[in-house]
Amino acid sequence: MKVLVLGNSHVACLRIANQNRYQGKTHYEFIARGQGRGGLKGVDIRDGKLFHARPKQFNGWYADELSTFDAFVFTGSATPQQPDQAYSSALLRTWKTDLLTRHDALRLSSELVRQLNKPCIILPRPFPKAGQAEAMSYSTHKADTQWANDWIGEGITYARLPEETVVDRKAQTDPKYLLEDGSHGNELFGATCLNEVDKILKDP
Amino acid sequence: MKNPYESLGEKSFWKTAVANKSMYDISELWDPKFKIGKEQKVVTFGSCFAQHIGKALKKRDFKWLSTETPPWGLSEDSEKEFNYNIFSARTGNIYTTTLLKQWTDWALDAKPVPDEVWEKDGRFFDPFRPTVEPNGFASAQEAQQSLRQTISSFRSAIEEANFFVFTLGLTESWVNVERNYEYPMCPGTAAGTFDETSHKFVNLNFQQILNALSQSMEAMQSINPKLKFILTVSPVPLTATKSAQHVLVATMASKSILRAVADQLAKNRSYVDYFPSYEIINSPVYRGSFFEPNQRSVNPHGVGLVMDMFFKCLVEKFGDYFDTQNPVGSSAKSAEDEVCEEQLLEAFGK
Repeated sequence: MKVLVLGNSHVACLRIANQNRYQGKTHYEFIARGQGRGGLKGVDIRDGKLFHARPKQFNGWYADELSTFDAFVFTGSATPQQPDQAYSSALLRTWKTDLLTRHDALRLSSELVRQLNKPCIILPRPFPKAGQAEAMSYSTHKADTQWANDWIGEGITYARLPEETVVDRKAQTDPKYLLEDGSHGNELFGATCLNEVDKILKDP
Repeated sequence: MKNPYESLGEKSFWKTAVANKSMYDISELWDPKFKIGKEQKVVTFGSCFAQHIGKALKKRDFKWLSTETPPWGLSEDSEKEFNYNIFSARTGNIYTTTLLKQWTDWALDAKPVPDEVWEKDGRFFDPFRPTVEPNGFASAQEAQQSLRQTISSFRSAIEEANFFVFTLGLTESWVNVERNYEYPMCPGTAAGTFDETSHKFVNLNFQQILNALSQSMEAMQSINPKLKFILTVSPVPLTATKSAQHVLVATMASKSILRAVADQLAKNRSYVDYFPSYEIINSPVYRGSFFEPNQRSVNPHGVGLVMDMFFKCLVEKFGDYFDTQNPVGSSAKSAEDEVCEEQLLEAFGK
């Protein structure tokens, strides 16, 4: 199976893990641009190929037909949370439209599903480092993920962050899975996430 | 013996404080009672001019609190269209102090929340926020649920805030005399149908406005004793008047009464201050230069000058305790970007 991973700096841990630690059989390729330089902003899918006005700004790029990939993974953003306030039905519709047209991972996933009918997975960035801030429970993250998948639909799957990477069953990352900056995953985190993606692709 | 004027400073004399100065150099217009710490929560409600204060606080990295927030990922355009983050909760304009009292009574369960909903062409409108949804609600139930959400959020704003900024806008109002509540707009204008039996015009007098505002503030302090208030009067003239007066005369009468109420409360209560945005925009000294050509809307230049004055006066009184030039989070963001670039360079071997 051949999978293309796209995103911002959070792609780094996946690529390093793929080189050094990952032992699965999936063939992964990676494309990334730091969020400070725009992340995936301006990337488009045209005639089944990736398009950007300045592809050289990206680390990695793929100019050929995207149909050679079996699936796509987007990483670097957070999972939408279930509303905790009352929103009108019109607002909820507008929100979904906004996400699918303006949120890069969802916009591109939606387009890939439409043009190529291939599965798209959105892998969230790591939770904050344990102890940095008050964290919601991991079960809330599971519920949010389930809700996002039911609500967004469109053939797009939000992945749960692997439970083994969190501490005290809360949405906070065990420091052993993070780089020193406390916000980016390390090689171990990357390998765990690639295994999680494999699980979803095997049993969507 | 010196006469009492001899010891006064420059700002007390028209010649030195105004006549001898460029209008842009006039200073010390506000002597703030309270230091607003950057960590302290400020909520803004009232007539439309209040939204500029919220925006200016956010821009300078103060803690403007919104308790009714849009969902994550909603675009800025949609946020504006659905009236999120205009005021600290989605109340829409609270033009009068009696409307403020009504919202406060609902939030504190002192009065029942009305169940009136207006229907037009299959869409449903909240009489107390008739323009809050761009095309109305899908059902009466949805409209009522949304109103309850806003009331709950309004209560949270009262409970959590350190400062409640309220802009007094109008004296003229419309009430339902049969059901004993007030509308922010005359039924039949933005939505609803006018009924001359139940819908009556009221032009509030000084005492009614003062009482409603005093009672609102006292009620809010009953659930948040630390809450302090900063009052402003909207400099925006009336769009229309139902009084028999010319709209210009009605505007001056309304604003004068509102200004007098604010003055009375700020002078007599230690927890109330008044910020003179009304004077900055409307004083003849500024020659009407802060209004758009319609002589009603305040132009961005005027808004900017008012808000610059707000922060300048805080610094003059309490010292240079914040950097007015620092854009929100710029240094933190650039540091984060640098870190992100490092991860990619390492991962992609460049």
